[in-house]
Amino acid sequence: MKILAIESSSITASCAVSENDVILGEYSLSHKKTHSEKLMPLIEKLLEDLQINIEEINLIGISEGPGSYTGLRIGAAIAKSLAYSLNIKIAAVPTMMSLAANVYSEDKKIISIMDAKAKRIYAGIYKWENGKVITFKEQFPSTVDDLINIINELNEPVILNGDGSEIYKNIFEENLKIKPIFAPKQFNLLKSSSLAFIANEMATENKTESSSNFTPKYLRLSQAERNVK
Amino acid sequence: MKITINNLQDTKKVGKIISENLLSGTVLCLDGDLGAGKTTLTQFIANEFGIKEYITSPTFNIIKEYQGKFPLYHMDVYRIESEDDMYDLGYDDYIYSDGICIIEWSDKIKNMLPEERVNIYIQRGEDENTRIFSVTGKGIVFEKIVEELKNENTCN
Repeated sequence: MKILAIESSSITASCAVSENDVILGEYSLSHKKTHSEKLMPLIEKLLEDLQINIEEINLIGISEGPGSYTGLRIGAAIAKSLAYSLNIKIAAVPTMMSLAANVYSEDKKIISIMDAKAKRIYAGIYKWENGKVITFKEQFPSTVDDLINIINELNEPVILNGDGSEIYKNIFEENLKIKPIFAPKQFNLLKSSSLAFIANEMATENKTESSSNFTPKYLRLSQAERNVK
Repeated sequence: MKITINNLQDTKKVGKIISENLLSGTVLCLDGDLGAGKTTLTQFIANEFGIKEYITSPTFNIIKEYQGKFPLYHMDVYRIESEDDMYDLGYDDYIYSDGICIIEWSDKIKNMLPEERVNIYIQRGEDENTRIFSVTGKGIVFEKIVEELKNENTCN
């Protein structure tokens, strides 16, 4: 099964093609948020260089969010229209899960953290089991302070990755009771190859959806929900 | 701080001072009645900022984008009904970008504004051309603008 994975939730515009669990190719740009101009040509180029006809693609993997509002909408528009025209399914990959899949550990949980500005973040808690990424706590919107409490309650050494782990490193270092491991910078960028890996897992577990069903997950409370709080 | 503006020439001076102190990521909020001069001030700022295009009020478009030293996002949020509306325009992507945001009628979205920002409230003065600018805010850009406006004021 050939998967086209599309990542546009952050500054990185990235696409990859995989065949089952083998990555055939990946193009990534982490330059400016110009996904509307860059992403489609990047996909075209990738397919051309791999000599793959778009009609050979069996599944679209998309970074479902959270992340940049505009970025997610561009990715969703591309994923939905491609999946619709090819009459294939979409694997909506939780963005924080894809981020966690950049890092491998046999014994430690991975907490992927994406900066949402003004000390707000998105996070998710994952671990590896038998070569698969397992969700320990589904991705959620939070603040740095709340996440620190959650990690402290885990009471075990963890690995932190994502741009949020970099930006708030000092706060984590000062407030986490058990010293965490900070993933090196290169593991903090979202990668469509990690996304393709999870999309393949989701396909084997039948967790795909139709193009018309898919919507981006902004993970933001609506105003009505916020007012209740 | 409050400064009194007597004519367009004064507005231009203020626009220049603001423009020279804008840093990547600055949020500048402009409030005041219709016709107070929010867009006029924006035009002077943009001009000094190296934007050749003529700046018009974005009341209809809500957000307009220009390219100067940094990108300039000129917003008029008068027609915004709720924070959700603003969010649906990709507001976060603009406000936390490397560009400059100038937001007219910012009071409408005051709960969504970042802590570090510059607020200018424009009031009409006694005669037709007089305006009173009240400058408040927080952060390094605000401090520098106030300092330079004070210097300018003492020169008068």
